[in-house]
Parts: sequence; structure tokens; C-alpha cells
Amino acid sequence: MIAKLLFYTFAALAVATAWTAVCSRNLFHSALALAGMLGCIAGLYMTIGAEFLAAIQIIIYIGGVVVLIVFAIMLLADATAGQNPPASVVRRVFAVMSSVLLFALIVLCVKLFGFQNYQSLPPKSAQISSIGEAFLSINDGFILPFELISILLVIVMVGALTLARQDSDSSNSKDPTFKQ
Amino acid sequence: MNIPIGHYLIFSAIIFVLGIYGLLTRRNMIALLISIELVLNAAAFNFAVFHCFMHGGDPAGTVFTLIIIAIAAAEAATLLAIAVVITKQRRELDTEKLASLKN
Repeated sequence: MIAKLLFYTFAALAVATAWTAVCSRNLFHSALALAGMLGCIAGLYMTIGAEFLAAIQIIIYIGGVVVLIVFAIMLLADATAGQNPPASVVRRVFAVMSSVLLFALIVLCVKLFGFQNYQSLPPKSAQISSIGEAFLSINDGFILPFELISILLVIVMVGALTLARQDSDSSNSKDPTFKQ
Repeated sequence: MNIPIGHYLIFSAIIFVLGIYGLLTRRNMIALLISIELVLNAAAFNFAVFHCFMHGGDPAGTVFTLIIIAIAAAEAATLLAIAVVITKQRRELDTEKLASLKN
């Protein structure tokens, strides 16, 4: 009973905050609503018993990505003030139509597949030690994706630093069309 | 009585579709990044739900979720660095006006 209450509360909160994140005109409110939605999804991870995923979600998303987004919004707020125009009506109508169509398609797929055989199984998540084994064991593990992720993170770190640190003199002199 | 798996799937479908709607309507680059985060989070949650309900906690599903989270973090860092550079050079984050590479 408690689990049901928690699931529906977190799900409703997540949908509401996701709607705010997508539709708010103020970017800062969007970022805060995104943090709320990520927290609700961490709560949903808890309701299916995946505590490790919930912890990772909070640490990486709320502690990392949202803080990064908030910093970027604050850094760029002066330069891009008032540049958040609402979408045109035609565009919004087509977006609503395609979103509703996609949602109907997904719901149809879920209904058609049915998942009847899985209704009675209690949710059971992986232990943290077995997740570590799945990543790092040589024989049947996911060690190649693990190493690729580490290389990707290093490349992204170096790339983001070189992009954001280049001083404006050298970058402006490369191409005259990019001058302010 | 457990919560049926369909409710989890329909919940993540709602989040996914909201993210797609944001991608189609927003024009600010950082708002687009927020919408992409919604889409990726819905997909990662779907992987976690399937691994819990259909595969009895096989850790392979968790591996996919963790990889999606890592890639989302890397993508956010790259996109925000690009946004900082573009704003420094063009004073602009509107994707309709950032069309130098078009055509």
C-alpha cells in the first residue's frame, strides 16, 4: 500500500515538474524543475528496489548536470537576456500533434505486448556487487563499454576545457564572420 | 498486489513525450538540453524497470542505465561549453538564428 502511494505520488510529481521544465519561460525555473523531476525519478528507482541507481541519479544528475546547467544559465544570463521567444502557434500545434501520436503509439505497443506474464513477479533489482562484477569481469562482463565510457569522459573533459578556455582574441581572428 | 509494469512504462512514456515536445517547441539551446535530459532519463528508467520486472535483477540492465547516465553527463558538459563559446562570440543562443552551418 505504502509502495503504491509512493509510486503514484512520485510519478505525479515527476510529470508535473517535467511539464514545468519544458514549458516555463524562465530558464532558471526550468532548471530547478529539472532538478525536481530527477529527484522524483530517483525516488521511483527506490520504489523498484534499485538503490544504487537512485544514488547515482542524485549524485551525477542533481549534483553534476543540474549544477552545470544552473551555472551556464547564470553565466549567460546577461548576454542572452530576453532571447527566449515563445514558439509560434503552428509549430506548437504540430508539436502537440506529433507528441500525442507518439504517446498513443507507445501505449499501443505496451497494451499489445501485454506483459501479462510479468504482472505477478515482485520487482527485484541487482545487488551492487553483481553490478560491479557485470561491469568489470573479464569473461562475460561489460568491460569494453566501461573503458569506452572512461575514454569518452576524458575526451569530453579536455574538449570542454579547450572550448571554454580559448581567449576571445585568437578565436575572433580566425574567422571574420564570427566577430561580435 | 504489486504495481503493474505497464504503469511504469506509461509513466516513462509520458516523460519521454514531454521531452520530445520540448525539443520541438523550445528555441533556446539550454532549454533544448533540458528537454534532452528528460528524454534520456525516461529511456534509462525504462531499462531499469525492465531489468527489475522481466529479468529478475540481471545486472546487465543496470549497466545500460549507468552508461546512459554517463553519456548524458558528458553530453551536457560538451553542450554547455559550446553554449559558452557561442555566447562569447555571437551573443546569441537562439537556435533559429544560429544557422551559419545551414545550406
